[in-house]
Formats: sequence, structure tokens, C-alpha cells
Amino acid sequence: MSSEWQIYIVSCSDGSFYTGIAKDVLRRIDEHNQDDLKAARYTRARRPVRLIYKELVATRSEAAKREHEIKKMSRKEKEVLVKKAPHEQGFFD
Amino acid sequence: MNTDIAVLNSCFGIDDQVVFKTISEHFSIVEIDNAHASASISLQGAHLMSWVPKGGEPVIWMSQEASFESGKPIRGGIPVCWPWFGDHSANSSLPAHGFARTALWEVIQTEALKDDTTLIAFRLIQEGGNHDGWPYSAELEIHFIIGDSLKIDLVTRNTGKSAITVGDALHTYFAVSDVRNITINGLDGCPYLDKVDGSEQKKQQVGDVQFDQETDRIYLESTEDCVIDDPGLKRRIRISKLNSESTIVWNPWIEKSERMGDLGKDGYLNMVCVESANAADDVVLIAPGEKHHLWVRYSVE
Repeated sequence: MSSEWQIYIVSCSDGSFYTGIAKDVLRRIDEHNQDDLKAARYTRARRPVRLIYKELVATRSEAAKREHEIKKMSRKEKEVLVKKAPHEQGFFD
Repeated sequence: MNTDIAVLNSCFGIDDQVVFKTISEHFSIVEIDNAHASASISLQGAHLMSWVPKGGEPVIWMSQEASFESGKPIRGGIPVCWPWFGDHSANSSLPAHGFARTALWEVIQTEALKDDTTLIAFRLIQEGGNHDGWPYSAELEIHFIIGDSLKIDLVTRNTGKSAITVGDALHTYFAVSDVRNITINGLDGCPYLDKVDGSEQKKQQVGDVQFDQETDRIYLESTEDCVIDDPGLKRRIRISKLNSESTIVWNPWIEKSERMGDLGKDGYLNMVCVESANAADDVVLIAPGEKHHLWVRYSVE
């Protein structure tokens, strides 16, 4: 898994979403939360951020392409993407 | 694999509600606490170890002799049996109940839900050839919603190119005051395989299930709620499920629990397993790209 790229979405402390790509998503999110140098400026101002979605792709260029697609999505479309987990499909109602 | 506790807390922790911690070398858990209940889950096996509704008694039993060691099954809680239930059909040297319960799962999501319950989800990716006895590709997820009821969704997705057959079970150990005094209803009329006498001839349940000896049965055609009626604790535990037509009822009684050695003194008296499953005739065939949900809800009345 470590050789593959991932696209991730985090939920920020103000409720907004931030999308990024990384090879090691958890390390990257830890940087957003802890590391003032490596964190994105957007997330640094909205700590803590929490991982809510990730998607695996094979290459960095695929990851960048998918990141661009997700960044163009509306908030509602991103919510649909994030909420496609089973508990949102009526099993728990 | 995401075992660094500081990183897990940074990525998935929720203040005062979801906290990851290490309890012994190479053994990490997540503790959940909200307005409705508290719970703990081991990252090994995505194994729920406790669930206690606020103001109530523990609903899930954990042996006092349970050991929490890397790669060892845990006696009590909710072991996840997957991708086979019981012994492997062709090779009994493979681990009973499959390999998911001793594997390290990946945390994929935590969320404080609007009704003050807590979601936590885990994933286990199985790629073809990783395991003897099951050379297939599949993605297994388990989603827990911790509240005054406990909801669990075990999802198998076939990521390979051919159909797969999966047996699974939530091998839940329920805490009871004294197994000799409880009854389980909801299985009346169901045929069952009695594993204690080894008979392949199916028997039929008449009335409630009661316990006065070792009991190990796979009930088939079991789709109704099962209810554990426990007069000693003045409570009834309701077990509801979907996509499961088999229920295992198990208590090892005296001799077997002595042989097993990790149930604690008289531990067998305070537990009963009522397992929502896809076992025996009820294993599921999953086409490529398709998925299967085994869904349960436990509640206390």
C-alpha cells in the first residue's frame, strides 16, 4: 500500500473540507495538525482536522487528477462522496 | 499499518469521545465515551471488548483471564469470524474462525453523529494469495455505532475476478447473571446442528433455549430477533439482524471451559454466546464487485 497514492478529505475545525493527496495519509494529516512548517496554510488555521475520506490510486498523476476533480465538486457532492459508508445507506435506521 | 497512537489520535481522535491508547506492547485499543454509552475496541481484530450503556451493566462479557497479545485470539467481547466460521472446510490446521480476528485492522473513519452516538469504522484488505486456505481478494469493513444500542455492519466486498464464498459471524459473548437461569427466545421451530453430539442430523428447537450442559448449536432458518431474558440482572438483551439466517448458541459449561483454561473461575456461568452468522448452509456467495452486509443491532430492555 505504501507505494500507492491516496486522495484524502479532512474535516476542519470550522466544518469545512480540505482535499489533498499523499502516500502516507495519516502522517500527512498529523502534519496538518502538528507541524507548522509542513501543514497546509488552510488547515493550519483550522485545527484540528480529522480524516473523513480516502481513496487509493496507483500513481501520483492519477492522484493529482482525482484531487482536481474532487476540488471542483460542490460541498453537497463532497458530502455524498464521504457519506457513502454503510451506516448512511439505511442499514442502521 | 496505522499503529502509531499519536498519529491515530491526531487523525481520528475526537476530544473526550474517541481516544486511542496502547494497553500493552503491540496492543492498541480505542475507547469511546458519549452521552449514551462507553465502549472499547481493539485494533487487532476490530474486536469490540466492552459496551456499557450509561447507568447500566456491561452487556458484553470479557474473561478475567483474557490475554491481549499480538496475534492471539481474545476470550470474550465480539470476535469477528471471517472468511470462514468454525474449522476450515478442507484444512483443520488453519485457524478456527478464519484470520480476521487476529489481524491488525486499519481505522478508516470516526464521527460524532448528530444523535450523540459515535461511529467508528475499520478496514481489512485481503489480497489474493496472502493466506493459505483463502487465496482470494476482498475488502472487509466493520462499522460500529456506539449508543444506547450497539449497531454493527460487517461488509464484505469481493474485489477479485471470480465469485467467493464467505462464512462469517459476530461471535458475541453476552454477559449474564447466571447462564443456568436465563432463557433465549426467538429460535422456537428452527432446525439446528448440534455440535456437542457431532450429529449431522438436524434437530428442531422447541420453545426457548435453556442451559444445563455444554451447548454448541448452529441454528438455521433463524431470522427473528433473539432475546436473552435474564431475571438475575432484570434485563432482556435483544439481538436484531439482517442478511443472516444462522445463529450460533454456545456455552462451554464446566469440563470444556476447564480444558480451554482462559474463561476464568466459573466464567462459563456469566456468559453466553449468541452469534449472528452466515454459517453451515447459510454461507454467502458474493459475485465480483458485489458486497454482502451482515448487520446486527443489540439493545437492552
